[in-house]
Amino acid sequence: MTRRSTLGAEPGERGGIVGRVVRELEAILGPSAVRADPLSLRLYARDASMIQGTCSVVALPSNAVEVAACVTVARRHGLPVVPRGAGSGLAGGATPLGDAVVVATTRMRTIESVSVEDGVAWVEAGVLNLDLKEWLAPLGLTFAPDPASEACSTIGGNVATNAGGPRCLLRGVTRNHVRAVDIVLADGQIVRLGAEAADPDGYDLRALVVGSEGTLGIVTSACVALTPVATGVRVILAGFPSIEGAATGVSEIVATGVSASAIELMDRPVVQVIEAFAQAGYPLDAEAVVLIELDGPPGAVAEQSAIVEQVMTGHGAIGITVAEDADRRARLWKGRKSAQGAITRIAPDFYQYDCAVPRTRLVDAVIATRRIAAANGLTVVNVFHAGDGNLHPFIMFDRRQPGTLDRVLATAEGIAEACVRLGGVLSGEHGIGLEKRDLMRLMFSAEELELHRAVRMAFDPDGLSNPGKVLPELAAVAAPSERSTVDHAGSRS
Amino acid sequence: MSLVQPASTAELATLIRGAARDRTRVLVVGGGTHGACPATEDGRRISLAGRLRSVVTYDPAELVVTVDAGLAVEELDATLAEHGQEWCADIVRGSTVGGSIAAGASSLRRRSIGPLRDSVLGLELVDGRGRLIRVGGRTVKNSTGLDLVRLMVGSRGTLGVITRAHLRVRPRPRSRAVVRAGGASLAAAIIAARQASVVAAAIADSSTVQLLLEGWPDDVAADAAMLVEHLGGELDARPGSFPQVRSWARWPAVAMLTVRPSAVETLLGRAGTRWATQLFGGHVWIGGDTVSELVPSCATATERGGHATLISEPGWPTWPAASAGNDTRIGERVKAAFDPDGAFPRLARWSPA
Repeated sequence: MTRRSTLGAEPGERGGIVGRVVRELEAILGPSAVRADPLSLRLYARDASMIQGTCSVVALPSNAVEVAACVTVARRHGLPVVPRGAGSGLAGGATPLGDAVVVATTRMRTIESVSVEDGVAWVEAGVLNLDLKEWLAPLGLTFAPDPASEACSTIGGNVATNAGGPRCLLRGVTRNHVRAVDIVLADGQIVRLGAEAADPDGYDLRALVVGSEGTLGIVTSACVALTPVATGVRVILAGFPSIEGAATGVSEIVATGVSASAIELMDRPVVQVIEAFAQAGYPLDAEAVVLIELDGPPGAVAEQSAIVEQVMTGHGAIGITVAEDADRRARLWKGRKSAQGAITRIAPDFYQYDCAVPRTRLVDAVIATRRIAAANGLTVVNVFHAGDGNLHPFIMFDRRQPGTLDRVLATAEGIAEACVRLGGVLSGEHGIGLEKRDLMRLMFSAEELELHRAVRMAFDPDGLSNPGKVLPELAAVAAPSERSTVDHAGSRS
Repeated sequence: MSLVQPASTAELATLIRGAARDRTRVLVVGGGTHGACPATEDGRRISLAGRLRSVVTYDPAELVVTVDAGLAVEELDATLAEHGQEWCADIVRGSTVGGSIAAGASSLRRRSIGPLRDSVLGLELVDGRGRLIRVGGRTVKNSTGLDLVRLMVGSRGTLGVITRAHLRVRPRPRSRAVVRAGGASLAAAIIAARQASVVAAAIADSSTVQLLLEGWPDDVAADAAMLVEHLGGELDARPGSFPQVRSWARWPAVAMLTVRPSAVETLLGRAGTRWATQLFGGHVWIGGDTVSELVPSCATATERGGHATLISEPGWPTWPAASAGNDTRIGERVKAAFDPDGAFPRLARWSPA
């Protein structure tokens, strides 16, 4: 891989350049915050995606000024910079390429300020999503995005990928909850975009940063909006005789005017393995299980609950369970939340994919994923955020079988194509990263991609902020070398 | 000045390419209600309101509607109302969907239905080179590339002409009521409103507090009773438009400010009697006889991490005055990415010249 690395340098010079970068970073950050040993370089050369990358040095700055210094040093030597939070991203946005300098924000873990009156908090990029939630809980407040990785993912990573989660159905994804960011641009400047007050006037540059996967700069702090902790919560779970019945039931519930905080759907193979793993009380004779969470004032919960039960019954629901107390709700959620861990019991490896379709096309999308997987000799199981049309097919495989990875990737790309054909998009909440970079052409014309690129260059004219991610290269050539370095999957907890 | 009404996106693109080539400007206006485009600008004024105004697709079960940008918000609302749904923009007579998005005009009911930018899923636009560009998509969830949709919201016709929009719509509230209280203090109103669970909008001025309740019938009734008990005043169980009193509409010049809620008091302290504020969210209106006398309030707002917009006499432009956290250097480059030849005006800022 040679993309934009060590600009203008001959291969022989690279070692020298990297050595100088390491020494300069050590002088600024101290030796304990700079890593260039082989083990560290291997550890930081990948995230939770299936792609193996490479890097030349890892920096662990403690604050925004140090981040700016790292960026300045890398820039002086023409090395690209790859920001990294917990590395839990699934699309390869934090997978470094070439001689990249990885700048990890994991030491930046300060919750800088919380204002209950203003409903905002300033938090450093390395603060864990769940740590922030636990800090806020005694105040009766929360940070709404709840990605499955909330226990380990950072706020900076949530901002980079525009992270979602099951409860984003009602309360919105990360972009709906970020008021402002402090960002280190590729020229080393620290800039504040957005403000604590809502509804900015003029160009919403803050909104561009959320979901930009580090391609505009490194977010060092974010001002996030705080949401009151939900009250009056009720969870309703039901089994359905067919996945079509479950999905059309979900569509009808949404169309009837129910504003649920989460609507999750799991298909039969997942339910079987979840139940064996978590004993959550899911009906084993159902082809699909739907979990719906409602919250709010008593009238809203009672009326919507009645609609949900009525629609579910109309679609042949079996065994409707309603849980109001916290323990019973937690038990029903435990099944959904252990899906990923449970799937490891039925497949040596799995590849978790992410696409979104208009919610009335969910059934078509599920049928398509099964057909495409079968055509490639693979099995796919489905656990997804049905209420907002966000699919998460798990493609199961055994990497020891020769040629399997090619079939896995062909399945994934087939699913992406099918979703786009159904009016959907490449990613609902994981981002594009490297994983789907070369699929961007399925959604965007050359002119549209050129505009994306031009906007990216408004922030980073020299392309040193996480280059090679999100946007396909101008030369319209997929990078087969990256595709073939896929060597691992399914080890996420 | 003549108003050109292109009959198609292709015709619009030709107009824009011509302007880019001749170094003239295309000034797009919707209904002209949000003053998104400065009236002082020279150039060819175009409107989509006459001929590009269809509901393109609407599947109520999807809660998503695709419309041409020239569609009047009022007409869209009538279509959605047939299916018990609504979009989140306030209806201003004559305003268009494209204009509301270009002005970033969030509803007074923002607290319950969210800011306008959260409801725009995707857009089609013609950029400064006359290219048809699609941004975003039609799904509720989308994390695919840079969020150019939100960039367009509030960009006031300076980056491109919005031709079509994919909008997230929502169920209309089942029940509404308004509580209007004359004698309540601002502090008492805030405390009472915080205890209510279905307050969609709450506006106070120097003489009245008006609270709009929206939700399921039992919750609206319970909150209404609680608010009447705490604040006195009267209950209107069949309210028409909200608010019934728009004090700011009577002032010759208005500064529309958004600040942190904790900064509201400071702004009101200097405002005399011409003020109004939302009890939630830090939105403030301050009135004056001229725009110039409102500049200090705008400065206070932006110094405190807020945003300010100035509105002068009816028929005059609205200017974004200033906004904290807006990097003009990057903003200019973003503008150049969309419009390298300056076919559209620059993002106007009020200046006291």
